[in-house]
Amino acid sequence: MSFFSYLVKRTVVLAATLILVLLATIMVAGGFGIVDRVAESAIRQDVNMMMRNNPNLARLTEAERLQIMQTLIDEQRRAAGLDKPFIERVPKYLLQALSWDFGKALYLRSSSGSSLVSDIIAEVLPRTVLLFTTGALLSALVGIALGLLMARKPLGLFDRVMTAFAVVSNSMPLWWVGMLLILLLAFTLKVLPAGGFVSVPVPSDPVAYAFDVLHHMMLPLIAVVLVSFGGWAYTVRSLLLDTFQQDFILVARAKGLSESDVMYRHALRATAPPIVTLLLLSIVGSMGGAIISEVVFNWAGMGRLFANAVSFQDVPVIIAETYVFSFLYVAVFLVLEILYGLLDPRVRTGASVQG
Amino acid sequence: MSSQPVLRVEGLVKWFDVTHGLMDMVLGKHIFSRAVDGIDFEIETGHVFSLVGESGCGKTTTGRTILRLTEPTRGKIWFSGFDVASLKDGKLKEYRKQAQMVFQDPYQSLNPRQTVFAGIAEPFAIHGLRLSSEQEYDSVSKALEEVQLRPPEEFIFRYPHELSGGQRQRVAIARALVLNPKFIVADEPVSMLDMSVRAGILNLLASFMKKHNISILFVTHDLAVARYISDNMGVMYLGKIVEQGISERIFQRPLHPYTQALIAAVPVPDPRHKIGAIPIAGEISSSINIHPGCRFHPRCPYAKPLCKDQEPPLRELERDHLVACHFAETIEQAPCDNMLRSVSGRESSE
Amino acid sequence: MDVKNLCMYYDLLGDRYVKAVDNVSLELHAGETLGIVGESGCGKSSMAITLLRLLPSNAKIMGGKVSLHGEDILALPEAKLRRDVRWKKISMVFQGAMNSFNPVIKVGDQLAETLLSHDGKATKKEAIERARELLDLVGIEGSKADHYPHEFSGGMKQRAMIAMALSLNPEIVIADEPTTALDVIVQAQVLKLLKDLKEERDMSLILISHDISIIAEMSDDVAVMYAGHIVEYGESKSVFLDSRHPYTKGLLEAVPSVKARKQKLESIPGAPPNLIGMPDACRFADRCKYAIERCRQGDPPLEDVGDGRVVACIRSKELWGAS
Repeated sequence: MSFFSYLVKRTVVLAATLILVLLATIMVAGGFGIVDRVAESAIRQDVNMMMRNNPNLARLTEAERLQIMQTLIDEQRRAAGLDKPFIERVPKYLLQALSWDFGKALYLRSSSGSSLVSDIIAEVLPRTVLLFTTGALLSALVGIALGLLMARKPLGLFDRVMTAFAVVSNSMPLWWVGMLLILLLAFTLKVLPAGGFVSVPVPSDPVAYAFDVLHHMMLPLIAVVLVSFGGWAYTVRSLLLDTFQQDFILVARAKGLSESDVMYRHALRATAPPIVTLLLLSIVGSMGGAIISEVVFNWAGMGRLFANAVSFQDVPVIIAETYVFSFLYVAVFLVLEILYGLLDPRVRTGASVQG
Repeated sequence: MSSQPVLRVEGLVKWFDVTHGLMDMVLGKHIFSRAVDGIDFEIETGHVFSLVGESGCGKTTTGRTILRLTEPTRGKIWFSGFDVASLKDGKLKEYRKQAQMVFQDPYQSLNPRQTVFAGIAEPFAIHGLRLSSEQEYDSVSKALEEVQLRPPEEFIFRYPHELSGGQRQRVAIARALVLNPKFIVADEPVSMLDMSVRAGILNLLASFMKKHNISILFVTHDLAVARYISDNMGVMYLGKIVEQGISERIFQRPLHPYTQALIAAVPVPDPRHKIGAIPIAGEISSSINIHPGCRFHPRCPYAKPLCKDQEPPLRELERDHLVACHFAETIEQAPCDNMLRSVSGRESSE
Repeated sequence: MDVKNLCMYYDLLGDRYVKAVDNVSLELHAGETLGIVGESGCGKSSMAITLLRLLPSNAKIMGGKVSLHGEDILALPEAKLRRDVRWKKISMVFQGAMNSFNPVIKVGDQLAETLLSHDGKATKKEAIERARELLDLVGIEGSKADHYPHEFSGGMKQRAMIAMALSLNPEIVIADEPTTALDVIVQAQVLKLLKDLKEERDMSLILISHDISIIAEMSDDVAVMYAGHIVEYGESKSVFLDSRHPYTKGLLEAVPSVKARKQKLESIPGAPPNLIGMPDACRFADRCKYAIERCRQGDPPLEDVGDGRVVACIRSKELWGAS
């Protein structure tokens, strides 16, 4: 089976998965009638508002007004498709979601004032990526480098110290570390801001803006890396040590290759597949943001949006965020499969990875 | 000794479904690995029948199918007059009391969390034989004595990791024999043991056979062991038996080119015998795409056009010696020099 | 090559040692095959990795010399060993080529890297060319160099392993259980290949195996190892046809032959010993049918019984005479 046909097959399967996820999300969200009730009350509000603002209607009797209101409501309902049972509307919702049309938020607004959910999410996603994805990448880099060093002299002093540190630091919750750092760096030493995305007032000069964001990013970034790099280091170290047990490492040494050749050319290459998997999964995970952490740092990202949406019961936002996250997950998954196929040739021909 | 066969296998077939890929499965396109593709043989009471062949020939699958550890695709398995191929539940359990297995890997066939006692006594519980703890202890002790783990008290409460490979295999044999089965399938029982230990296990199996009149289906790739222990033999290749009969007859006068090559390829602990060339190229082909005709023809140095089209049937060339080859007689007349010289033990010229 | 009094122990935590290789002395002559035979735990594989100093971190060489053309390779600094000896003078074929190839690198590249790492002037193109030539030598199509190890069958992998071992034209090849896990016919093919290549290139071969028949058919000289010691060592014909050590005799009686149906095989009672804390006695005494009190009073030294043969048994001359 060529690499190309492997890719095509994987893409088809993943696309099918995505649609299934979407379907499930819609069914769960809409199936209980919550969304419908929400939409109906929105319509009623709109119609009410419309009627009150229309002076012509003031002259009509109560009964006539009620009649007009009902007609308008019915019209709107039909327009929104609410007169048809939910099941029939599912394909429409599916198509809407696939074309990234998520409708309007009920209560939340983007900072530019738009009520379109897609606008809201589009504004918020990059911020999460900026902080958390960068954090994930940085943790991975630092962790891999340290893991390599640890694996060179297993059970040596460095290895043991780092392992202890890794276990401890990984067990600390991000939001707790965050709070400690805020206490230390923002309030006691006053070197970094306590939170937020940018200072108030917002600098108008783009360069100054960029620096300002970076300045605000420092503290949460330090927290994220501090909490995650330990796990990475230990995992990489263990994976490498496993690889070292393999016969081909002995062969490489016997061939007279230098230690660095053995480490980088052979051990690391062979260990790359699982490391890349972890990396991509952690990138995807980072995009969901960390709800509590974003609240702690007052970082207006996906997580904080989700928290707000839930507390306000802004259903369209909740659904849309869930979908966006799933989409990203599946997309990154596809990238992962491609990369894995490139790194581990055994996967392409369907051979068992045990060899 | 009665000549009523304990076991008779008729047209046994076992195909494994190896379809992979969601698409193919959905479309109903199945790919099969034809592990065992129609074999027949008999084992008489108190005899050893060896199934020999290289890896992938189907010998292990045959053994497991006969014991119903995996379901046969087709065919009949006559055991003491009953067709066990289609037994279920209670009757199947009865069958298991009488037909047991000894496995290849002594490091994996014993439950590491069970003592020797627990492992050997387990069959009693499984088959609902209620024995008092005294009776159980006695039976297990006796079983240990029979497999020459003496004194039994020293071994009875040990754990597998406290035993050597040979000792573990003896425990496995004790466990298989504790209910006095009539028939045993021994799947490469000594391949994973040290050479000095193998003979002990083989002799043990042989003595059990004589003492309790047990029949053994001995599956192995080691022809030297097969020659030592078997009465009758079947040589398997890609799911079919290509030569069958009384072992000594086959060893002294191998008729099928594959058997000849196998025997010639086996090294002998004699420094005067040097490695010779084997006129067989390539490796065993896949059991998935089986071409028509003789399965061995792609590698056979004597292959003729007929071999490509027609699959040769097993036919009796001399008494108790069957061969599946169109040209077995002519091969005898004009043998491939190298092969025959090695087989007869004379020095092969290099 | 000359091995004198080689001792290698594995360090278990605490004061305990596993005396994997205990006072082993061997000679390897040019163009000859030396067979080392023994069962599991006898130390033969440990010998192999000791010769090239490929020891894991818990193993130590406790003494001895390994001289190659007069130079003690155990005393060489690591860099020199790597550059001049490993693979260039002495190379290895490992057991069960199952995992001997890195699964994510093409086979051809793995063969080529031996050339590239030892010869600074070789270009990548030249190295791959040479890799294809080597594969051809062992009967594998050159185009397979672009394939990955999992696309090779067991026999092919072993042959590719052999090709790789020959890439720098070494003087000595150590083959450690090169045919375990291979089918009978493939095994014969691989052994024949080894033999032919050895003769063509006038190499010396150290063949290590637990299979006494392979050793018998392939070797000129044979060393029988048991529990870290050599118990019998001499010309192949003498050792096999006229054994003088109870263990060798026992092994030969325990092994069936495909050439003739033996009447009865005699197994050796007991099992190979645990190598931790070995007492100062003949290590085979517990299993030996000729053992006497004196056997347990000290480790028997290797004695010359004539014809260039040495045996580690105090009763050997008495029981079987000297030639």
